[in-house]
Amino acid sequence: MTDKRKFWILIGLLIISLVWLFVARHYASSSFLEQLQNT
Amino acid sequence: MRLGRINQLLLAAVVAINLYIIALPLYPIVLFWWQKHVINQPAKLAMTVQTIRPHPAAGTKYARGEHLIIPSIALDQDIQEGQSIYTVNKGVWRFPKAASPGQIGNTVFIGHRFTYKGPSVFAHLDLVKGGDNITLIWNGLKYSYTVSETKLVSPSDTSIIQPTKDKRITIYTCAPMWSTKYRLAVIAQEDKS
Repeated sequence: MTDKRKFWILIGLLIISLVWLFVARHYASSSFLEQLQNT
Repeated sequence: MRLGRINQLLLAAVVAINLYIIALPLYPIVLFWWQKHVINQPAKLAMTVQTIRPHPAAGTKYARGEHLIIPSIALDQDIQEGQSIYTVNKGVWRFPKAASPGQIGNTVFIGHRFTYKGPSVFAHLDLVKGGDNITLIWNGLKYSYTVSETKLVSPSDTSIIQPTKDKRITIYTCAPMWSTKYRLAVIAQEDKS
């Protein structure tokens, strides 16, 4: 596999990881906060 | 050659991000295991609580600020005050609409079971049992409570935060771990001195 191909695969994995990170951080506590808001 | 170096950095970033996402939920579990079995923190905290005077002496850790201490789960946290619900992301939040400690009524503390955005202060609240001691340092005074009840309620059940005619604290968080399906409430009555 060429370095160029590896580079694009890793960029893809990095984007997926960052999206996963955002989703995890946001949804891990948002529903609890939403419930508190309605209390 | 240069692209190879960039690939190494990208790989390291991908691995680090994924390790963070996977390992952080396990961190409170590992930390508590270490506190309980390696440094015996619950027993140390129980002894510390006994040495705190009704008016904590100046210069000691507990002389300033507000603290919630639950020795059985090795919890010793500052209490956060604020009107915004986002205060809960900083740690143990005293619900501002409820009573203050020392007053007749229900003092309510809320915290996360698990969050990526701050301390997961009540990760092990499910291990608190009836009869456990809870100590509160508030405005330079020490208050002692004994757990009378633990229960699971639905998120829409607001009975746990309603005012009461006795002096009690209610501590609640999400249950089960990593879910908001229920609320786990620990209710403790103030000890009569």
